[in-house]
Amino acid sequence: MTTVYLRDVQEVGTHVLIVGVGSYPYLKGGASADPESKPTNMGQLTSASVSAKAVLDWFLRPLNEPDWKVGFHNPAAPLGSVEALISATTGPVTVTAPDSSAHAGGTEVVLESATLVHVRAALVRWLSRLNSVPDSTGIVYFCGHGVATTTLFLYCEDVLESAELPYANIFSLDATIWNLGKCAKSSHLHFWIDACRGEDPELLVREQKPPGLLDVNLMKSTVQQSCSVLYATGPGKQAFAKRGGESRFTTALLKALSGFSGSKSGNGGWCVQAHELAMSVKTLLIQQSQNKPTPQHCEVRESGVGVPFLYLKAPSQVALTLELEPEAKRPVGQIRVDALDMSMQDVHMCEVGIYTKHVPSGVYRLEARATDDSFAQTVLNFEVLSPPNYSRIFSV
Amino acid sequence: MKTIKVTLDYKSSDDSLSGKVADRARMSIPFPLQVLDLQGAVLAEGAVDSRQSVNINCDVHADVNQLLVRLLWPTGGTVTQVAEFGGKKVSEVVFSDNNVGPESWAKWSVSRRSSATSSHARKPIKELSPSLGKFKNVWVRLWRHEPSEGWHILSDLPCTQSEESDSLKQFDLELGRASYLLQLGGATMPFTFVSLPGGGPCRVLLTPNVVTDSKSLPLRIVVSGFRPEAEMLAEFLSRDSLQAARSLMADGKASKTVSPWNERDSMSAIVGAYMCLRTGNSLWTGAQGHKFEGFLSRNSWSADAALVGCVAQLREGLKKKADVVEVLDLLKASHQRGVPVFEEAHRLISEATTLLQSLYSISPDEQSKQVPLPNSLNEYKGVLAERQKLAAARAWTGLSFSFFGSTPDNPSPIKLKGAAPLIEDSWQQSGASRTASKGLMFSGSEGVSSLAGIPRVRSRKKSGFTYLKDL
Repeated sequence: MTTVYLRDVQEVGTHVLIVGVGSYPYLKGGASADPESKPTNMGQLTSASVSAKAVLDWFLRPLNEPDWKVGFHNPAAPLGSVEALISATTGPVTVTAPDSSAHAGGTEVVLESATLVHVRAALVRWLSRLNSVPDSTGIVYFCGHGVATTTLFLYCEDVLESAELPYANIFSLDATIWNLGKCAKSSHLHFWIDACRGEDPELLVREQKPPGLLDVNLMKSTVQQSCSVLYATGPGKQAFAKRGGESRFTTALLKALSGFSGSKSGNGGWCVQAHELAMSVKTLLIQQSQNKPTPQHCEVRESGVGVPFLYLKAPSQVALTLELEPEAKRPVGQIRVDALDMSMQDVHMCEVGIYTKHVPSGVYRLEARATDDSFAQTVLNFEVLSPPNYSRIFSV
Repeated sequence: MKTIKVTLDYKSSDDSLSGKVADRARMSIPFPLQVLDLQGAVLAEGAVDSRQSVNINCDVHADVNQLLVRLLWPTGGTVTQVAEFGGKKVSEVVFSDNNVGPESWAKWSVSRRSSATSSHARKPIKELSPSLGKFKNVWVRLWRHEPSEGWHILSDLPCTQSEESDSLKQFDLELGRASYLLQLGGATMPFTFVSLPGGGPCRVLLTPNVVTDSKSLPLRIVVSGFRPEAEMLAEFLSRDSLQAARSLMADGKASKTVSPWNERDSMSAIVGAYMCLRTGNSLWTGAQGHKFEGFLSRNSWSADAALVGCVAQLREGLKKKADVVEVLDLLKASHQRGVPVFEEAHRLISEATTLLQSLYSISPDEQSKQVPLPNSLNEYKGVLAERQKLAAARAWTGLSFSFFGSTPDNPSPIKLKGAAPLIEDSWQQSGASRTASKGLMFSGSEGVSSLAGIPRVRSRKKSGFTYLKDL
């Protein structure tokens, strides 16, 4: 079963498709791998299912726990449906479904595996729900193997199932996206792709060109309103994850989605647009990559005129870090943080350490001073603190 | 309602671009701007340049005494000023470039290469300025494309003037009406082609790149064809900063100049067309259709224009099956005219080739349901393959179309480094057609990725290139 949630009403909504492919039976280390077959060195991904499940939980938790403060919320396009396919190295993945037309609340749903046939079928259902009401939003999350030649190809669970057609169960992400643009009426589409974009010389050598998940019809016009694609890494680069844990990109994505992105809109509410999400994820990924030998930088591609896809129940947050240097001055050092809209005021004594706090995004006055006037005051009168973080060292 | 009068005093930046040429006297670099409240909410957007102040109206309560005005740079850098109202309805802010960059002749490029941020106008924009010293042996070569003859190397750079400092090198070129590629390479610099705007003066600035991300090169290459409105817009588009791009186009001057219907300047018209495609504005239907035919006809030499035409038609959907030939012909024309000038073309090449590839991917029994294949299948298949190779070799240098490779005819994602390859130009040797293949040998040095299988040639002509230190 892939439909985890379905709200059967005819109104503008947000429809989500989540695909996590960690188990590749025909790749290296897989239960059906052919040791003689060497088209690729790729193997199992212990993090993909964990990452996909985390994203799925982020969408579903507010439905299971109404008091939960973070998670998907969009009154302009409420959650309409969630399709999920996860292939895990640890076996079938089960999720507790919220109450909806698809399942009674609390039903334990076993998710289908992410074979090409299943992924295509889930995409078709997702698309038909998008098209049932124009101006809807579609979100697709994929975590699994990816390779790039001229475009990015994503691997489904059953890649290499057939020795004669080894790449039959891969699909072209770009072809899928361009084709969806011709099918998804007046919709806003978002793709979050947690996959490597390294080159696969075998694909190049074999001149394989796997198609997209949908057939192209060149007679149709492009009908989407906007499209954003957030890649976990840059062209030709790898994406990284801890074994058995969430990937770096998904960790950054979920943190950004959970309050550390977005801004105040004209009508006073706080919301997140695709470019704001991208900016936050980019910053968080850079932060994660610091001091690591394997840096990772995400990339975004946008077109059309987008709308917010997520609304926040509280102001977006900034992880604020302020330090005083040199350390010898800290016993007499004091840092003041004042929001210019008077929403918060903080005084921090530097002798206890670095000032770290999550504060609402906005404009602040930041000050470092000496309680005994032994060094000159430093004041920043109008610092704009935007998600996801802000850090500064006051050198006195 | 409160009003902020915003003045941009970036005259020295404008002057660094205008130089001594009278025609350029009217140039002014525009910047998008935002007005923020004290919670960081964007209340209003607009654009400003140094020729005239703008008044930005903000729908805020009369009690509001402070708002922020933020100037946006394509690199993501920002300059922020405070608008103090003191109980009144009107305030004024002035942005000055007095503290921007020490080299006056390079000020025009700062917003396109520095991501530094200043939260107060009086604070200098602090940039890291590493030395160009380690790049002194980077070689530079200029290629020109002739429609009937293909690519050839120019023995000398048509350099009209140059400037340099420890961290910057800038030179101006005078280019004919053709497609041009500047190729750079070296021990630390992968062989990179950067498209230059032909048909007039062109400026290139080189500086070590302090940004490290997935697409940055060791050298930052900033190109100007002296079209500030179009180039600022193209820079924002190359960084997917659509909101800033739209703010820029909200300015009446910019939107008139950077319009697909601009009949006086092709480059600006092309950038205008790219903006329309990016924001989903139709170029092909209704009243625009006739005007768009004019755009294609006026720019019949441009690889960018042909590509725009191809993708615009694909997005509109083919009206009849025979139109597929027209679309394929436009892609072929784009290929025959050299390479595009703008980075935005990479997106369109990817879109066009991905969609058109489907013509060759469907099974025979499905073909009757789709568009019939043209008889000259192989010809277009070759063009598709060539364009796909170009897309796979994509490099990124900001607004300019760039790619990796050893020669323009052989784009490749493999990043070669080393000495300038010696090109045997067999036309010059034998008097045969210039489109004969070029033998390729490296002059030989450590750390050079080799091209296995390329035959040695008996006689070689050393092709023109210049080291950065000698420019």
